[in-house]
Amino acid sequence: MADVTLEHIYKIYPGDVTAVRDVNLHIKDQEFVVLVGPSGCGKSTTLRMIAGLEDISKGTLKIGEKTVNDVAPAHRDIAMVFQDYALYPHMSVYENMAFSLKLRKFAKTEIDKRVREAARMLELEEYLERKPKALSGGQRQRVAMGRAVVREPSVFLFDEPLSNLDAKMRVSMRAELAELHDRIKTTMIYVTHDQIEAMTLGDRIVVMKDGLIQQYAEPLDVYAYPANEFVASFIGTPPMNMFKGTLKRNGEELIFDGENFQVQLPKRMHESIQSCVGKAVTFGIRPEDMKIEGQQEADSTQSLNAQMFLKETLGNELIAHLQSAQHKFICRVDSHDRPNLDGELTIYPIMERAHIFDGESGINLTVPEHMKQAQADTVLAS
Amino acid sequence: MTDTNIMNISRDDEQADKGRVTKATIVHLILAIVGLSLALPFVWMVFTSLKPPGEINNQEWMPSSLKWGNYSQVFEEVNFAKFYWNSIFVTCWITFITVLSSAMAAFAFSRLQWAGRDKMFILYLATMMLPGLAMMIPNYQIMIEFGLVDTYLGLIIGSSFAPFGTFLLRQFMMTIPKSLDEAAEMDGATKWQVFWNVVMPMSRPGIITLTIFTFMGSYQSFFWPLVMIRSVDLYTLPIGLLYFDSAKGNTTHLLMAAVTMSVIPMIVIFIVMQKHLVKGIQLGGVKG
Ligand SMILES: Nc1ncnc2c1ncn2[C@@H]1O[C@H](COP(=O)(O)OP(=O)(O)OP(=O)(O)O)[C@@H](O)[C@H]1O
Ligand SMILES: [Mg+2]
Repeated sequence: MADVTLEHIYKIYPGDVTAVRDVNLHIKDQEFVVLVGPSGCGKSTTLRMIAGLEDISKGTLKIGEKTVNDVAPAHRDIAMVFQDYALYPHMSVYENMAFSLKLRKFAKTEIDKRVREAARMLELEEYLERKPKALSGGQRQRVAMGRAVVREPSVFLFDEPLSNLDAKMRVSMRAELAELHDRIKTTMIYVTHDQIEAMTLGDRIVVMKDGLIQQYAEPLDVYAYPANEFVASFIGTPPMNMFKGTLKRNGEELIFDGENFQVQLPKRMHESIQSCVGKAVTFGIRPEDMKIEGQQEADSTQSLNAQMFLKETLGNELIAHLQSAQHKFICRVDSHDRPNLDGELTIYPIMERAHIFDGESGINLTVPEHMKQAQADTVLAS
Repeated sequence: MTDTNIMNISRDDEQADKGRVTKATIVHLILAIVGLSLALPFVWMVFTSLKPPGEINNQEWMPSSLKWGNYSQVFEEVNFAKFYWNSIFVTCWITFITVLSSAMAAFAFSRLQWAGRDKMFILYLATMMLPGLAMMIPNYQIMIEFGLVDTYLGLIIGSSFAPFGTFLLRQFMMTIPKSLDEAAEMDGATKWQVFWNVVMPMSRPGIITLTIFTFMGSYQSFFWPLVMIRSVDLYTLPIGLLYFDSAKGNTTHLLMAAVTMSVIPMIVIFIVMQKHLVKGIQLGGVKG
């Protein structure tokens, strides 16, 4: 049971490769935090620094109240599940799980009790005598978790533990992981490049890019109030629609001008974007927040015209790829009534859910004040 | 038209089959000839070892009567049991030290991080390029310095450290995923425990291969013991066999009896370990 605190953490590899820069994170006790980002963004490096498998180049790492920068991995009271499971092939499932307890000189009876308990919890009882070679991917995964569980550590680390499983197995293991966290209520830090895993598992998620934290917030907040263009297009499939244009003033109103796509921006945005009048901005809106006339209830008075050039049928919905002059964007449409999407379509964006991003820095200018405050609190002030 | 085609095809098939049969036969024939010719000297050795002294130089392969007494005579002429013991004793120690030290060095060269590691390894490997005989002179001088000439210790130490084993096991260990070390480290293992409880058991095929190679090599080793040993008490088998050299009279039958007895441990080891040996070589070949 412990908080994990990263203060101004850097990782600089030989040859001046800065893999992680100025990472500040406060992970609360019993929290499930997911680090997500594209390949090479420094997720694993961050996790491995917490584990003690990589040296910390700069900054302070605390587990509980204790600074552990120079503490060996074995003494940090953490357990890690590796992407390739890293099971000892020459040991049985039982021995794999018992190994760490044996090294720590636990009594035989205590080892036995813990291993059997973990095996029961993870439904591994009938495989205890088998070697890892004779197990399926999902079973190996559970053994790897069991090996971590028996130690009763105060922090669990996972590095893409589900990426070697097939799609179905991944979904069911995801549920098991969530269940495991509910049951043992321990701090968990989880690395993945899969945003669905991040959204479904995390109490909070950390979105990273190029070694920098982009946003640290609850999944729904990340989805509804992405901190910048990168987060907006990384989280959510299909990604958020982005329209390039300029911000203009027209009397009392502020207008997003994307040439053939012009919209009046809601009053709530005015204060935070006024300074950008005359500058390049990006108008962002999620595919489900653009309604097609005649197909969906439209509550907006502003619209644009478009034609569909590609349709993806997913069963519960259609993904319509639309084009309007130079703009290409996507709409999600309920497929139940087999909508006819041929010809000229009128699209109504739900302006209340739209975002304006700074054209240069990509920062979301329209995040509500209370959200900004909450995010600033979790990421320690730099 | 179609009919003839089918006929043609089936005839082609038959021919192909026939071709395959004759090819297999030829291959087997060649293998049999090679196998036999390799076995011939061995057979000759055993037959000669059973010949009465008078028949040694005649052209007959088969002895007129089987003289088992040759074998016991070997033990009467020299302290053959002692030679046997020396050989086994020295060989076992050499094998043990070589395998253990190679494994430890391989671990250091493959799994520990230290400055200059890979350069050091190349330097270490380079010593393999030097002919063994060239190294014997400095090695012998070292033994003189330490007063180890004509001792078991000198015999053992002098041939216990060879880069080949380190090379073999390093290549082997490099195929073991690094995450296993890390998992063990997080489980609370010290470097030694990672080595002993994780890397060593996983290197088993490599270890077995190296054990067999080393055992066979040092059991047969001739030159180093010849240089090192003065007293008959320390004679190993290859040196002991010199006693029956024809220079000391016509004792080929005794020599052959002694040789036959001395190859028995190797044959036993080979039969027992054969499966592992092949596996080890394959593993090394495919993965290393
Ligand atoms: N030993 C190393 N030496 C130099 N650079 C390294 C080293 N290890 C990692 N890096 C670099 O650090 C960056 C971050 O790597 P990291 O493994 O943390 O990425 P990741 O986010 O886990 O990506 P992935 O999703 O592909 O696992 C990468 O650009 C990588 O090239
Ligand atoms: Mg990674």
